[in-house]
Amino acid sequence: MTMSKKKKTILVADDNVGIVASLTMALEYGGYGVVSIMEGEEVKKIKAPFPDLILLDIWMPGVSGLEICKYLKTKPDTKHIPIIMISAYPDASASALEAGANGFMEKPYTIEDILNTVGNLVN
Amino acid sequence: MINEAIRTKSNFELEHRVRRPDGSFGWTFSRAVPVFTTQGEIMEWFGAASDITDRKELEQKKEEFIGIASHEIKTPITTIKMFAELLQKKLSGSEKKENAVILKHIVTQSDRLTTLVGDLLSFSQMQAGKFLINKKEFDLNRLVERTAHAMQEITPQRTIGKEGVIKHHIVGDESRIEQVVINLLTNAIKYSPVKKKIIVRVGESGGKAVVSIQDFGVGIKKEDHKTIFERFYRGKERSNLAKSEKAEGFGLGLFIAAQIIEKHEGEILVESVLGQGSTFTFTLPLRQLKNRTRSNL
Repeated sequence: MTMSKKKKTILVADDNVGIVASLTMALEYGGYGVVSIMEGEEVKKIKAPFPDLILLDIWMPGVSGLEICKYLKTKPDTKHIPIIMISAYPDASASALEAGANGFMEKPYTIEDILNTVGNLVN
Repeated sequence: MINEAIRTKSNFELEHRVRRPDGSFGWTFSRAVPVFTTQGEIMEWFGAASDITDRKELEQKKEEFIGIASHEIKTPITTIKMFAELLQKKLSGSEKKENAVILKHIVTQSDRLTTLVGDLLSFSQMQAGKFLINKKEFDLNRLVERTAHAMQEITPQRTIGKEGVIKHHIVGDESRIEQVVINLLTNAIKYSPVKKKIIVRVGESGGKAVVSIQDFGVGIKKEDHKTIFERFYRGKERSNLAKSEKAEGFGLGLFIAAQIIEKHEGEILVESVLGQGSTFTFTLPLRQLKNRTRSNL
Protein backbone atom coordinates (compact mmCIF):
# COMPACT_ATOMS: atom_id res chain seq x y z
CA MET A 1 0.00 0.00 0.00
CA THR A 2 1.31 3.40 -0.85
CA MET A 3 0.49 6.51 1.09
CA SER A 4 0.21 9.88 -0.55
CA LYS A 5 2.71 12.34 0.89
CA LYS A 6 0.86 14.97 2.93
CA LYS A 7 1.80 18.53 2.11
CA LYS A 8 3.53 20.16 5.07
CA THR A 9 1.96 23.38 6.29
CA ILE A 10 3.96 26.41 7.31
CA LEU A 11 2.52 29.28 9.34
CA VAL A 12 3.99 32.64 8.37
CA ALA A 13 3.54 35.17 11.19
CA ASP A 14 4.63 38.67 10.18
CA ASP A 15 2.93 42.07 10.16
CA ASN A 16 4.49 43.13 6.86
CA VAL A 17 2.35 42.40 3.79
CA GLY A 18 5.37 42.20 1.49
CA ILE A 19 7.20 39.72 3.69
CA VAL A 20 4.09 37.54 4.08
CA ALA A 21 3.42 37.57 0.31
CA SER A 22 7.03 36.83 -0.68
CA LEU A 23 7.44 34.07 1.92
CA THR A 24 4.12 32.53 0.91
CA MET A 25 5.13 32.43 -2.76
CA ALA A 26 8.61 31.09 -1.95
CA LEU A 27 7.26 28.34 0.31
CA GLU A 28 4.55 27.38 -2.20
CA TYR A 29 7.27 27.24 -4.83
CA GLY A 30 9.07 24.82 -2.51
CA GLY A 31 5.98 22.61 -2.30
CA TYR A 32 4.57 23.68 1.07
CA GLY A 33 1.08 24.74 2.07
CA VAL A 34 1.06 28.18 3.71
CA VAL A 35 -1.19 29.97 6.17
CA SER A 36 -0.46 33.43 7.50
CA ILE A 37 -1.24 35.57 10.52
CA MET A 38 -0.39 39.27 10.82
CA GLU A 39 -1.38 39.90 14.45
CA GLY A 40 0.84 38.77 17.32
CA GLU A 41 -2.00 37.84 19.69
CA GLU A 42 -3.61 35.69 16.99
CA VAL A 43 -0.48 33.54 16.76
CA LYS A 44 -0.82 32.67 20.46
CA LYS A 45 -4.36 31.43 19.82
CA ILE A 46 -3.57 28.84 17.12
CA LYS A 47 -5.50 25.58 17.43
CA ALA A 48 -5.29 22.13 15.88
CA PRO A 49 -4.67 21.20 13.15
CA PHE A 50 -1.32 22.77 13.93
CA PRO A 51 1.18 23.85 11.28
CA ASP A 52 4.33 21.77 10.80
CA LEU A 53 6.50 24.84 11.35
CA ILE A 54 6.15 28.53 12.21
CA LEU A 55 8.14 31.35 10.62
CA LEU A 56 7.84 34.11 13.20
CA ASP A 57 8.90 37.76 12.93
CA ILE A 58 10.65 39.01 16.06
CA TRP A 59 8.81 42.35 15.90
CA MET A 60 5.09 41.70 15.85
CA PRO A 61 2.56 44.41 16.68
CA GLY A 62 1.06 44.19 20.14
CA VAL A 63 3.18 41.38 21.43
CA SER A 64 6.81 40.59 20.61
CA GLY A 65 7.77 37.54 18.62
CA LEU A 66 10.03 36.44 21.49
CA GLU A 67 7.08 36.41 23.88
CA ILE A 68 4.97 34.47 21.37
CA CYS A 69 7.78 31.95 20.93
CA LYS A 70 8.18 31.47 24.69
CA TYR A 71 4.40 31.07 25.09
CA LEU A 72 4.06 28.47 22.31
CA LYS A 73 7.07 26.54 23.58
CA THR A 74 5.55 26.22 27.07
CA LYS A 75 2.07 25.13 25.90
CA PRO A 76 1.83 21.31 25.84
CA ASP A 77 -0.04 21.15 22.53
CA THR A 78 2.25 23.58 20.64
CA LYS A 79 5.69 23.07 22.16
CA HIS A 80 6.56 20.44 19.53
CA ILE A 81 6.12 22.86 16.61
CA PRO A 82 9.49 24.04 15.25
CA ILE A 83 9.78 27.82 15.22
CA ILE A 84 12.15 29.85 13.06
CA MET A 85 12.45 33.47 14.12
CA ILE A 86 13.20 36.24 11.63
CA SER A 87 14.82 39.61 12.23
CA ALA A 88 16.87 42.26 10.46
CA TYR A 89 19.16 42.41 13.51
CA PRO A 90 21.83 39.68 13.46
CA ASP A 91 22.30 40.21 17.20
CA ALA A 92 18.73 39.02 17.80
CA SER A 93 19.70 35.40 17.15
CA ALA A 94 20.83 34.82 20.75
CA SER A 95 17.52 36.13 22.15
CA ALA A 96 15.57 34.01 19.66
CA LEU A 97 17.34 30.83 20.68
CA GLU A 98 16.96 31.73 24.36
CA ALA A 99 13.22 32.10 23.80
CA GLY A 100 13.15 28.51 22.54
CA ALA A 101 13.29 29.05 18.77
CA ASN A 102 14.66 26.15 16.75
CA GLY A 103 16.28 28.42 14.19
CA PHE A 104 16.98 32.03 13.25
CA MET A 105 17.10 33.81 9.93
CA GLU A 106 18.49 37.27 9.33
CA LYS A 107 16.96 39.57 6.75
CA PRO A 108 17.61 39.67 3.91
CA TYR A 109 17.60 35.96 3.12
CA THR A 110 17.38 34.07 -0.14
CA ILE A 111 14.78 31.55 -1.26
CA GLU A 112 17.42 28.84 -0.84
CA ASP A 113 18.06 29.96 2.75
CA ILE A 114 14.36 29.70 3.54
CA LEU A 115 13.73 26.38 1.82
CA ASN A 116 16.89 24.78 3.27
CA THR A 117 16.20 25.93 6.82
CA VAL A 118 12.52 24.99 6.71
CA GLY A 119 13.29 21.68 4.99
CA ASN A 120 15.85 20.72 7.64
CA LEU A 121 13.32 21.24 10.42
CA VAL A 122 10.16 19.76 8.96
CA ASN A 123 11.63 16.69 7.31
CA MET B 1 42.78 57.36 33.28
CA ILE B 2 43.94 60.26 35.49
CA ASN B 3 46.74 58.02 36.80
CA GLU B 4 47.84 57.33 33.24
CA ALA B 5 47.90 61.09 32.49
CA ILE B 6 50.02 61.69 35.64
CA ARG B 7 52.36 58.84 34.74
CA THR B 8 52.86 59.99 31.16
CA LYS B 9 52.67 63.71 32.08
CA SER B 10 50.17 64.23 29.29
CA ASN B 11 46.83 65.97 28.82
CA PHE B 12 43.81 64.41 30.44
CA GLU B 13 40.44 64.19 28.67
CA LEU B 14 37.32 62.41 29.83
CA GLU B 15 33.64 62.31 28.98
CA HIS B 16 31.66 61.14 31.97
CA ARG B 17 28.13 60.89 33.28
CA VAL B 18 27.33 63.08 36.28
CA ARG B 19 24.48 63.25 38.77
CA ARG B 20 23.24 66.79 39.27
CA PRO B 21 22.09 68.19 42.67
CA ASP B 22 18.44 67.81 41.56
CA GLY B 23 19.01 64.07 40.99
CA SER B 24 18.95 64.22 37.19
CA PHE B 25 21.83 62.87 35.11
CA GLY B 26 23.91 64.69 32.54
CA TRP B 27 27.21 64.42 30.68
CA THR B 28 30.40 66.42 31.27
CA PHE B 29 33.55 66.75 29.23
CA SER B 30 36.61 67.40 31.42
CA ARG B 31 39.95 68.42 30.04
CA ALA B 32 43.14 69.18 32.02
CA VAL B 33 46.62 70.20 30.95
CA PRO B 34 49.62 69.70 33.28
CA VAL B 35 51.72 72.72 34.25
CA PHE B 36 55.36 71.76 34.88
CA THR B 37 58.06 73.00 37.23
CA THR B 38 61.44 73.92 35.76
CA GLN B 39 62.57 70.42 36.74
CA GLY B 40 59.90 68.94 34.55
CA GLU B 41 57.66 67.78 37.40
CA ILE B 42 53.92 68.39 37.40
CA MET B 43 53.21 71.46 39.55
CA GLU B 44 49.48 71.79 38.95
CA TRP B 45 46.73 71.04 36.49
CA PHE B 46 44.91 73.64 34.46
CA GLY B 47 41.57 72.51 33.18
CA ALA B 48 37.90 73.02 32.48
CA ALA B 49 34.70 71.03 32.43
CA SER B 50 31.81 71.61 30.04
CA ASP B 51 28.26 70.33 30.02
CA ILE B 52 27.87 68.19 26.89
CA THR B 53 24.48 66.65 27.77
CA ASP B 54 22.72 68.11 24.70
CA ARG B 55 25.44 66.84 22.36
CA LYS B 56 25.38 63.35 23.92
CA GLU B 57 21.59 63.16 23.65
CA LEU B 58 21.74 64.24 20.03
CA GLU B 59 24.42 61.63 19.30
CA GLN B 60 22.33 58.96 20.97
CA LYS B 61 19.24 59.94 18.98
CA LYS B 62 21.24 59.93 15.75
CA GLU B 63 22.63 56.45 16.49
CA GLU B 64 19.17 55.14 17.39
CA PHE B 65 17.77 56.65 14.19
CA ILE B 66 20.43 55.03 12.01
CA GLY B 67 19.86 51.71 13.75
CA ILE B 68 16.09 51.82 13.30
CA ALA B 69 16.32 53.16 9.74
CA SER B 70 18.76 50.40 8.76
CA HIS B 71 16.46 47.81 10.27
CA GLU B 72 13.39 49.21 8.53
CA ILE B 73 15.17 49.38 5.16
CA LYS B 74 16.16 45.72 5.38
CA THR B 75 12.53 44.57 5.30
CA PRO B 76 11.60 46.04 1.88
CA ILE B 77 14.99 44.94 0.51
CA THR B 78 14.19 41.39 1.60
CA THR B 79 10.85 41.53 -0.18
CA ILE B 80 12.27 42.97 -3.40
CA LYS B 81 15.04 40.36 -3.42
CA MET B 82 12.66 37.47 -2.76
CA PHE B 83 10.23 38.48 -5.51
CA ALA B 84 13.07 39.02 -7.97
CA GLU B 85 14.53 35.60 -7.14
CA LEU B 86 11.12 33.99 -7.50
CA LEU B 87 10.66 35.57 -10.92
CA GLN B 88 14.16 34.45 -11.86
CA LYS B 89 13.24 30.88 -10.99
CA LYS B 90 9.88 31.01 -12.74
CA LEU B 91 11.39 32.56 -15.88
CA SER B 92 14.44 30.29 -16.05
CA GLY B 93 14.38 28.60 -19.44
CA SER B 94 12.36 31.46 -20.91
CA GLU B 95 13.38 32.46 -24.39
CA LYS B 96 13.39 36.13 -23.46
CA LYS B 97 16.95 36.39 -22.16
CA GLU B 98 16.61 40.09 -21.45
CA ASN B 99 14.13 39.30 -18.64
CA ALA B 100 16.82 37.27 -16.89
CA VAL B 101 19.31 40.12 -17.32
CA ILE B 102 16.88 42.67 -15.86
CA LEU B 103 16.14 40.44 -12.88
CA LYS B 104 19.81 39.79 -12.30
CA HIS B 105 20.37 43.53 -12.09
CA ILE B 106 17.55 43.84 -9.54
CA VAL B 107 19.06 41.07 -7.38
CA THR B 108 22.60 42.48 -7.69
CA GLN B 109 21.49 45.99 -6.75
CA SER B 110 19.42 44.63 -3.84
CA ASP B 111 22.56 42.87 -2.59
CA ARG B 112 24.51 46.11 -2.96
CA LEU B 113 21.86 47.97 -0.97
CA THR B 114 21.98 45.24 1.67
CA THR B 115 25.74 45.71 2.06
CA LEU B 116 25.39 49.49 2.37
CA VAL B 117 22.64 49.21 4.97
CA GLY B 118 24.64 46.55 6.83
CA ASP B 119 27.68 48.88 6.91
CA LEU B 120 25.53 51.72 8.20
CA LEU B 121 24.03 49.51 10.90
CA SER B 122 27.45 48.18 11.97
CA PHE B 123 28.84 51.71 12.06
CA SER B 124 26.00 53.01 14.23
CA GLN B 125 26.43 50.03 16.58
CA MET B 126 30.18 50.72 16.81
CA GLN B 127 29.61 54.39 17.56
CA ALA B 128 27.11 53.46 20.27
CA GLY B 129 29.44 50.83 21.75
CA LYS B 130 26.81 48.20 20.97
CA PHE B 131 28.67 46.24 18.31
CA LEU B 132 28.51 42.70 19.66
CA ILE B 133 30.89 39.86 18.90
CA ASN B 134 29.48 36.37 19.51
CA LYS B 135 32.44 34.02 19.56
CA LYS B 136 32.09 30.37 18.65
CA GLU B 137 34.38 27.81 17.10
CA PHE B 138 34.20 27.76 13.30
CA ASP B 139 36.07 26.69 10.19
CA LEU B 140 37.77 29.84 8.80
CA ASN B 141 39.10 27.95 5.79
CA ARG B 142 35.58 26.93 4.78
CA LEU B 143 34.23 30.43 5.40
CA VAL B 144 36.83 31.97 3.05
CA GLU B 145 36.17 29.29 0.41
CA ARG B 146 32.41 29.74 0.63
CA THR B 147 32.62 33.56 0.48
CA ALA B 148 35.08 33.59 -2.43
CA HIS B 149 32.85 31.13 -4.28
CA ALA B 150 29.74 33.27 -3.64
CA MET B 151 31.52 36.43 -4.84
CA GLN B 152 32.72 34.54 -7.93
CA GLU B 153 29.12 33.58 -8.70
CA ILE B 154 27.98 37.18 -8.37
CA THR B 155 30.78 38.39 -10.67
CA PRO B 156 31.25 35.56 -13.21
CA GLN B 157 33.37 37.78 -15.46
CA ARG B 158 36.06 37.85 -12.73
CA THR B 159 38.58 35.18 -11.76
CA ILE B 160 38.88 34.76 -8.00
CA GLY B 161 41.48 32.16 -7.07
CA LYS B 162 42.11 30.61 -3.66
CA GLU B 163 45.45 29.28 -2.49
CA GLY B 164 46.53 27.55 0.71
CA VAL B 165 44.64 26.08 3.63
CA ILE B 166 43.95 26.86 7.30
CA LYS B 167 44.04 23.54 9.08
CA HIS B 168 42.61 24.60 12.43
CA HIS B 169 39.21 25.85 13.42
CA ILE B 170 39.24 29.24 15.11
CA VAL B 171 37.10 30.89 17.78
CA GLY B 172 35.40 34.08 16.64
CA ASP B 173 32.21 35.63 15.30
CA GLU B 174 31.69 33.84 11.99
CA SER B 175 29.24 36.36 10.52
CA ARG B 176 31.49 39.31 11.43
CA ILE B 177 34.59 37.65 9.95
CA GLU B 178 32.51 36.88 6.85
CA GLN B 179 31.69 40.59 6.72
CA VAL B 180 35.45 41.34 6.69
CA VAL B 181 36.12 38.90 3.85
CA ILE B 182 33.17 40.27 1.85
CA ASN B 183 34.35 43.86 2.38
CA LEU B 184 37.91 43.07 1.28
CA LEU B 185 36.76 41.07 -1.74
CA THR B 186 34.27 43.79 -2.69
CA ASN B 187 37.07 46.36 -2.65
CA ALA B 188 39.34 44.12 -4.71
CA ILE B 189 36.56 43.75 -7.30
CA LYS B 190 35.66 47.43 -7.19
CA TYR B 191 39.17 48.79 -7.59
CA SER B 192 40.68 46.48 -10.19
CA PRO B 193 39.97 45.93 -13.88
CA VAL B 194 37.66 43.07 -14.83
CA LYS B 195 40.41 41.21 -16.71
CA LYS B 196 42.74 41.07 -13.71
CA LYS B 197 42.72 38.10 -11.36
CA ILE B 198 42.03 38.35 -7.62
CA ILE B 199 43.94 35.97 -5.38
CA VAL B 200 42.77 34.89 -1.92
CA ARG B 201 45.53 33.29 0.12
CA VAL B 202 45.05 31.54 3.43
CA GLY B 203 47.46 29.83 5.79
CA GLU B 204 48.97 29.68 9.24
CA SER B 205 52.16 31.57 10.04
CA GLY B 206 53.97 32.51 13.23
CA GLY B 207 51.17 31.09 15.31
CA LYS B 208 48.46 33.03 13.47
CA ALA B 209 45.73 32.28 10.96
CA VAL B 210 46.44 34.49 7.94
CA VAL B 211 44.04 35.56 5.19
CA SER B 212 45.15 37.88 2.40
CA ILE B 213 43.33 39.22 -0.64
CA GLN B 214 45.41 40.52 -3.52
CA ASP B 215 44.21 42.54 -6.48
CA PHE B 216 46.08 44.01 -9.43
CA GLY B 217 44.13 47.23 -9.64
CA VAL B 218 44.63 50.94 -9.08
CA GLY B 219 46.57 50.58 -5.81
CA ILE B 220 46.83 53.09 -2.98
CA LYS B 221 49.35 55.90 -2.40
CA LYS B 222 51.87 55.15 0.33
CA GLU B 223 50.88 58.23 2.35
CA ASP B 224 47.32 56.89 2.52
CA HIS B 225 48.28 53.50 3.96
CA LYS B 226 48.01 54.82 7.52
CA THR B 227 44.61 56.44 7.09
CA ILE B 228 42.93 53.84 4.91
CA PHE B 229 41.32 52.09 7.89
CA GLU B 230 39.81 55.31 9.22
CA ARG B 231 36.09 55.93 8.81
CA PHE B 232 34.89 57.64 5.62
CA TYR B 233 38.24 57.05 3.90
CA ARG B 234 38.00 57.37 0.14
CA GLY B 235 41.40 57.59 -1.54
CA LYS B 236 41.83 60.21 -4.25
CA GLU B 237 43.27 57.74 -6.74
CA ARG B 238 40.14 55.69 -6.36
CA SER B 239 38.08 58.41 -7.97
CA ASN B 240 40.35 58.12 -11.02
CA LEU B 241 38.55 54.94 -12.01
CA ALA B 242 36.53 55.02 -15.20
CA LYS B 243 33.12 56.62 -14.72
CA SER B 244 31.37 53.25 -14.94
CA GLU B 245 33.65 51.90 -12.19
CA LYS B 246 33.59 54.96 -9.95
CA ALA B 247 33.95 54.22 -6.27
CA GLU B 248 30.65 53.75 -4.44
CA GLY B 249 29.74 53.40 -0.79
CA PHE B 250 30.17 55.33 2.43
CA GLY B 251 33.88 54.74 2.95
CA LEU B 252 33.08 52.52 5.93
CA GLY B 253 34.04 49.05 4.68
CA LEU B 254 37.70 49.07 5.73
CA PHE B 255 36.94 50.89 8.98
CA ILE B 256 34.40 48.21 9.91
CA ALA B 257 36.77 45.43 8.83
CA ALA B 258 39.55 46.87 11.01
CA GLN B 259 37.22 47.24 14.01
CA ILE B 260 36.04 43.64 13.68
CA ILE B 261 39.59 42.30 13.43
CA GLU B 262 40.66 44.45 16.38
CA LYS B 263 37.80 43.03 18.45
CA HIS B 264 39.17 39.57 17.66
CA GLU B 265 42.60 40.70 18.84
CA GLY B 266 43.93 40.28 15.33
CA GLU B 267 45.72 42.59 12.93
CA ILE B 268 44.86 44.00 9.53
CA LEU B 269 47.32 45.64 7.18
CA VAL B 270 47.72 46.78 3.62
CA GLU B 271 50.57 46.52 1.14
CA SER B 272 50.03 48.47 -2.02
CA VAL B 273 51.81 50.09 -4.93
CA LEU B 274 49.97 52.80 -6.85
CA GLY B 275 49.01 51.51 -10.27
CA GLN B 276 50.01 47.93 -9.48
CA GLY B 277 47.46 46.73 -6.93
CA SER B 278 46.89 46.05 -3.26
CA THR B 279 47.08 43.18 -0.81
CA PHE B 280 44.98 43.34 2.34
CA THR B 281 45.93 40.84 5.01
CA PHE B 282 44.29 40.03 8.32
CA THR B 283 45.51 37.69 11.01
CA LEU B 284 43.90 36.05 14.01
CA PRO B 285 46.12 35.06 16.92
CA LEU B 286 47.09 31.46 17.64
CA ARG B 287 45.87 31.65 21.23
CA GLN B 288 42.35 31.75 19.80
CA LEU B 289 43.02 28.54 17.89
CA LYS B 290 41.73 25.36 19.38
CA ASN B 291 43.70 22.18 19.16
CA ARG B 292 41.36 20.72 16.59
CA THR B 293 42.14 20.17 12.96
CA ARG B 294 39.78 20.17 10.00
CA SER B 295 37.92 16.89 9.90
CA ASN B 296 38.37 16.48 6.15
CA LEU B 297 42.15 16.67 6.25
